[in-house]
Amino acid sequence: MIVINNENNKKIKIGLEIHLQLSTGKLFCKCPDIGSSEIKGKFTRRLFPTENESGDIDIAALQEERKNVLYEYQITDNSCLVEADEEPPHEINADALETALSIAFSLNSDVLSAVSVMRKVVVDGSNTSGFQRTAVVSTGGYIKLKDRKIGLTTICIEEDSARRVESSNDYTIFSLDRLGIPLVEISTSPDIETFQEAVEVAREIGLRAMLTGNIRRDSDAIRQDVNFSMGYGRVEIKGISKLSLISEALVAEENRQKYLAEAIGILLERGGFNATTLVDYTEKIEKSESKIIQKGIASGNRIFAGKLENLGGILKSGDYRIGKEIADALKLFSIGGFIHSDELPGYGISEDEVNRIKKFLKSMENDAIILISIPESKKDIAQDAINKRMEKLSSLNFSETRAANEDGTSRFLRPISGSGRMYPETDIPNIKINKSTLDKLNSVAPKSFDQAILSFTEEWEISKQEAEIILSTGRKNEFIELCKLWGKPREVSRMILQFIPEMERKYRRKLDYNDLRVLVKGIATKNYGRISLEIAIERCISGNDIEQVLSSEDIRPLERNELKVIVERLRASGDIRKENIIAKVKSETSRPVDPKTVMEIYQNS
Amino acid sequence: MDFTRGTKLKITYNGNVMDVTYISKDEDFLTVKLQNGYNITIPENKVNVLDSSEPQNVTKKSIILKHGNGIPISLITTGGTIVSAIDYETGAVHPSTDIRKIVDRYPYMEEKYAISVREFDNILSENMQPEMWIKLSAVLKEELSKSNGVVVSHGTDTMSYTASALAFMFEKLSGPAVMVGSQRSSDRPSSDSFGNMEGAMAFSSTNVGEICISMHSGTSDDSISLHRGTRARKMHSTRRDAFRTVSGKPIAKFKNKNVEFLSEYTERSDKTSLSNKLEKRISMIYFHPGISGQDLEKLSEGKRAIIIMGTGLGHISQTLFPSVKKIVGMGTKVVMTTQCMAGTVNLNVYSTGRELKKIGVVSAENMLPEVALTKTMYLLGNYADEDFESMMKMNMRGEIIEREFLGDCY
Repeated sequence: MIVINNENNKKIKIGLEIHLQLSTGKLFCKCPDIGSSEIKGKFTRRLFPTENESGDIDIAALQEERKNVLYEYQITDNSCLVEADEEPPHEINADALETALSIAFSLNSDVLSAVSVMRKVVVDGSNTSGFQRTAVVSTGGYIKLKDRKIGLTTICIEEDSARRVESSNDYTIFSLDRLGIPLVEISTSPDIETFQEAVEVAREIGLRAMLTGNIRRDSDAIRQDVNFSMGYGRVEIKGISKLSLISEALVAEENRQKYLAEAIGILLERGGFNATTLVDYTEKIEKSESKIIQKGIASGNRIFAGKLENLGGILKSGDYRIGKEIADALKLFSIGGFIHSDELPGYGISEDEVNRIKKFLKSMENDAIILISIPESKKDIAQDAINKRMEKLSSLNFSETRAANEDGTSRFLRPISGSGRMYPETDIPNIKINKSTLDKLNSVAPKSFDQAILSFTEEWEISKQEAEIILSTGRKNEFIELCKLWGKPREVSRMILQFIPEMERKYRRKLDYNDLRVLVKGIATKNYGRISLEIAIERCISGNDIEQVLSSEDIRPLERNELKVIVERLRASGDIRKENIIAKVKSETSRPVDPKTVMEIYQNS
Repeated sequence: MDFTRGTKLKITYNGNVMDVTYISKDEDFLTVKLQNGYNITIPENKVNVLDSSEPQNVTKKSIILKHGNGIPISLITTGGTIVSAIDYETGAVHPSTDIRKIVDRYPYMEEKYAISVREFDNILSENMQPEMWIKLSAVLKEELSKSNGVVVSHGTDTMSYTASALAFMFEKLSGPAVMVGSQRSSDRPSSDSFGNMEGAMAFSSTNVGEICISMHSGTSDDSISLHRGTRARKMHSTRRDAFRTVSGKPIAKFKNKNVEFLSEYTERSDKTSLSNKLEKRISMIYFHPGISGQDLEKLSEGKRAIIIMGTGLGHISQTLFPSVKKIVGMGTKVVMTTQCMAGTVNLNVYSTGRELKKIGVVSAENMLPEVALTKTMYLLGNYADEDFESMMKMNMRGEIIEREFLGDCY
């Protein structure tokens, strides 16, 4: 076996791109970032890749394939003509921009005094315009982890893409709800050396951004892309939505590359790969009992056979999975897959049939054979895709863009896109940021998470632990708003960190922040206390209408004379003591009871 | 610091050495492109240039102006661009009239049409002038003699003015003349220009003998409408489906590579006949509360006709009547249209209208105001003064809808 000489550049290098959705409303229109899931209508579009003067063969081939793809878009109530690509972008959302700048300052990045918005061409339908608007707001910067300093390259502000709802071979459905939500993208240098460190860097950056209070709290509001290299080129894994999956994704990728390199080593030792030619084998196998073959023929496909030189036994055996690498490349052209000799006999294809194919293709001991069911028109595309994929893998260059799966693994997405597919957004002039804004943002930007907790603790007189939870879960602004309405920070903190989660668990329902704000405001206006608020919150979480809850008698605290009647009645019935009086009174009524008043009445009368 | 766009620079900025591409300079700020494709804009005084190399001159690619083999179609370009290519090195967008790039997007067109491009001019739609319409009409006539139909690419802002002016000048057409534009520029992958052009080609291979406009039917890319040039109006500043046939149905629809006719149209004639004189001394006045008789008289000075966009059924304030009388008395035609988005002028319903009629104001019926303008230009350019009123009221090119129906769009 050829040993891959990889000593010089074997060192693992990891870089991260962290994307955070902002809760400031959309970036280039006045739509809110939150919408209901109701579909208001739909429309269909095609995207025509713009002629590129330099040109990239792989990407061009992809575009060729996509020429006839129809994209359907679902209109949501948080989208307008801008998302439908029926109106030019409005001015940039100032809150979003300032949030991005605050994050940049707090990460020691050099903030630019002008922002130039670019169009990054994306023709997969995820942007109605065919491009994503994006701009660098700062360059450089770093974060410190214990004794290590991890560098940053750039911080950008950009539009989020449309959410993919459903896709098939020739059409894809997207929702406009996510399109245009501001994203802050923080890219690190490839300074990270271990998987654990990658997780810590992502967490630290996430926490620092949370301090702005403007990060959305949706399940996919924070997404990480990971750049990984171990000597076989750079692989970019996109869209890891959970911190905990970063490490898993990296372990999976390291293993994939390790075994892939080994398998390629075997291939090269055997003499390497020669381009395959697909041969129409339909007539020779049309009598096969294989369902795949029969189904293919019935749908008008042809069955092509091909010999893959020196790939026998490494397409799928043990940890070797070159077959999957080829299948991934075919999937890009909407070709569902193929059958290969490592899995045969199988899929209803007999040993006899396998031997006949081998003989027909003059297959040698080390060779593999494949069968592929596709329309005649796709033969050249399939053949080309297989050959190109093998050529690339044989050169031990594994660089590509992959998409993260939910289980920590990833799948091939496309070749690494060149850096160059960007041109200026001519609808938005350069945005100059004045010095006083920059100075103000810089002076308030927290330079560490601990420092931010400390000052928050002091300002609001809550515990350090409470401050940490509020800040790290991005609830700073909500907390401040509720404190302004309610006036008692400790009660607010207890309410949002303990009482509400408890009730949400009890009733298995979530309380929307906007509803909570209405409740707090309503009860504060009536001058009722904490107990009334808690009853109201519980009523709401258990499913009652918010207006009804607020106008209900049940949340009105018992007044002194009403309490007096109850206390006297209980006293007359006997068996009341200082220890049980409050519980007894409470059991007599469903309305809020102030224990202090009850005790006073009990003791003074 | 002054470089050619595209110059490669090695600079220091904030203590870092960077390789960038020079893009532009605005006051004290430089815009440069980073290697990752982003442009950044930075203060010039913070930048130190260590090295620079001028961009190599790229040889201009040859442009193909004739392509395909099928029904002969002429494409006249007035707005310059039908496709764009982007230089991602500098971010520059290069418009092109290379027809191959359109046909490449629709490979079936190669068999169906033989398209030849005639570059007429390259002006912004808002700079279009009546002199250009006259020149354009001559080119159109020439191209039509060589082909089944003509497609005219045109900016959308004044497209309906051009369309209606041409519609009056051509008394007969030997084939369709279809104007086409786009609301999203062709450098964008989402541009509507390709779909509108595909529709225009299909329409121009039919037997229609009118000047029409081919634009999106709705926001989706699945249907293109063919509007009569004298009834179409740009109803929205940005949407793809901005053009509507006001108070009627479009002539046809292009869907699934198929032309479906929706309403009656004039079929092509054996010959084309053109009367290309236009009277340019016409002005158009939008009535509003507060406008004075003096304003009206000023705008009428030296004009042979004024088109007033009145309120509702065609009214203006009675304080203006003496001025209107004066203007009419000097021999200037006064035509009344309505500033309502649709509907007719009727000077019989209210006394204000009846008085205007008595003064000598000519009703434009339900003609669109901009169409009343081009029709006036045509009539005063080619016919005797005394025929003006009767011809204004005569439906010559489908500009007047004689029966408006409840279901039709406005």
